[in-house]
Amino acid sequence: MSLRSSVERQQDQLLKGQTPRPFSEFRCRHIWSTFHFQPGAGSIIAQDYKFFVAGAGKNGQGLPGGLSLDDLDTNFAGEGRVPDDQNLAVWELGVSLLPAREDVVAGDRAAYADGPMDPIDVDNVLSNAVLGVKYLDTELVLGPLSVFSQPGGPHIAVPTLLDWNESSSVVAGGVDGGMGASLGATPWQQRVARLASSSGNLAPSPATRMRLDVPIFLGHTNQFYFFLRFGRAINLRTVAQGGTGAFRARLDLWCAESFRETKN
Amino acid sequence: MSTFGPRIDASIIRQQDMLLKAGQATVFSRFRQRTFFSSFLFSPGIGGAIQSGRYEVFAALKGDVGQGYSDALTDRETNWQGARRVPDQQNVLVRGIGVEIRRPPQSLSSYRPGITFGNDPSQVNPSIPVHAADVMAVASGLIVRAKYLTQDVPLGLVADFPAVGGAFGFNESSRQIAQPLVLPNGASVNDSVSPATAYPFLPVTKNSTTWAFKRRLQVPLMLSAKDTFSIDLHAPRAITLLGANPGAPSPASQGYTGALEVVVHLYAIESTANA
Repeated sequence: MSLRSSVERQQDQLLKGQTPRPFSEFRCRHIWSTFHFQPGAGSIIAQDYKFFVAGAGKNGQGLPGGLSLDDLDTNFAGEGRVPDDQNLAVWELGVSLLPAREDVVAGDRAAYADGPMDPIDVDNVLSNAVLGVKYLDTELVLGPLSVFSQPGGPHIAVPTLLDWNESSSVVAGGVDGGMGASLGATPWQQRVARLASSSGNLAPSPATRMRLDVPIFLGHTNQFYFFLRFGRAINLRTVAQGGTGAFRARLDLWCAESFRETKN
Repeated sequence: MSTFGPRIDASIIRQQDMLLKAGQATVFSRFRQRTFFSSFLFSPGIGGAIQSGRYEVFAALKGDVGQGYSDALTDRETNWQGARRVPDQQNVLVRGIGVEIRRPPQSLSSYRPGITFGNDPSQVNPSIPVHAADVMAVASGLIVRAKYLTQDVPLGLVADFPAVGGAFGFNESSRQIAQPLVLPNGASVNDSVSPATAYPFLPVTKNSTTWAFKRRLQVPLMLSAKDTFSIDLHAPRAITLLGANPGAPSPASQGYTGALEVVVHLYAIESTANA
C-alpha cells in the first residue's frame, strides 16, 4: 500500500535522521509519565494537566511540595523535549487510572484513601477528559480519554462482598450484616464492595490494545508534551462516600526509538 | 482486510491516496491519526422522553452553543473544527465509527433553562452514571445517519457501533447508598439517607468495546476538505428514560439520571496541508 510506504518513509527519515552522525541504533522503548490528582472533596479544575514535563527526582506533575517523582512515576529523561540523541516513533499509547501514592495520601486521611478508584469515579474522569499532544507549535486533541485504554493489570473485587464492616460510613445509622470488622481505624475498612480494574479502563488484554496506524513522530531536541484536558470541572466521590479523593493518571508510550552513541 | 477482490481494493487504495495526498489544488503531505468526536446532550428529565426527530452532531464548534447544550461547547464535547463541513486544510479518512452513551456533565449551566436537579420526576441527576436500562433504550432506539454532500445514509443503530474504552464495574450493593455528592458549583443532589430509598445497583456500563474489536468500515468514509458533512442521531420513535415506579412508597427515583450524552467517535486518519 502506498500510504503504508509513505508512513514508512516518514519513519525512516525520522529515525535515521539527516545529520552527519546518523541515528544508527534502533530499539523498542516504553516510556511513561504520571500526573497526580488530589482533589479530595474539591474539584478537578477545567485545565490542562501535562505529562513528560518533569523527570525522576523532580517535583511537579501534581505532586505536593516535598515529594519527588520516582521511576514508578516516569522513566523519561527529557523534560518537555525529546533528548538530543534520540528520535521516537510512537506506535501505541494508553492511560491508566491508578491508586494514589501512599506518601501522597498519608498526610490527610480525612480527604484521601488508599486503594483503587471507585468505578463511578473512573467513569467520571473518562467521560470528562480528552488526551492531546503539543509538539513544537502544533496542539492536537487526539480524542476522548476513554479511547486510550492501557491494557494489563488485574480485575479485582476489593474488598469482597463479605468484607464490608458492620457499620458502613456511607449509610446514616449503619447497615447490619457483613463479616468484616466494625468501623476501623483506617479508611480501607470503611470501603464498600466494588469490582475494579487496576488499569481503570477497558481492557486487560494487550492483544486488543490500540495500535496506531500512523505513529506520532517525535524528533530529537524538539519540544513536546502530552496533556489531559478537562473541559469542565468535575467532583469525585469523597472518602465518606466511598471514594479515594486522589488517583494517579499514567500515560504510557510504546515506541520505536533510534539513537546514536554520544561523542567522547 | 477487504473482501471485494484485488481490483476494487486497488481502486479504493487509489481513492484513498488521492484523498489524503492530493486533496484539491493543495498538496496534503502530512498524515496523522486521531479520533474526532462530537456529542449531543439529551436532558428530558427523570421519566421524560427523548422526542422523535433528528439530532445533529459535528454541527457546532467549540465555543458555540448547540447540540443540546445551553452553554459553550468545550474540548470535552467536540474536537471537530468545521460546522457541518470538513475543515479547509484537512482530508479525513474514517476507518471506524463508535458511539458512546455517556453520563451527563456535572456543570449545571450546560442544561436547558427550567431544568432542576435532584431525584424527583422531571429532574436531572448529573452525579451518577447512566442507568443500564437507559443505555439499552438509547442504543436500540437511535439510528446513526451520515450526511455527506447530497447523501443521507442510515449506517445502523447506535448499538451497532460500540465506542472504544470506558470504565466497567459496579459500585455498592443494593443495601448501600451514596451520600450527597457536591457538584463543582456547590449544589448537591442525592439527599436520601434511608435504606428504604436506597440506590439500586449502579452498574457502570456504556455502549463500548476494546480497540481491536471496534467496527471497522470495509470501505472507509472519505471526507474531502471543505465538503459538507455531519452525522444525525435519528429517533424514529420517542425514547422514554427511566423514572419513578408508581408502586414505590417514595416518589423519588434513585439511580436515574434523566439525562445522557451520545458521543459519536470517528476513528480516522487525516491529511493536512503544509502551511
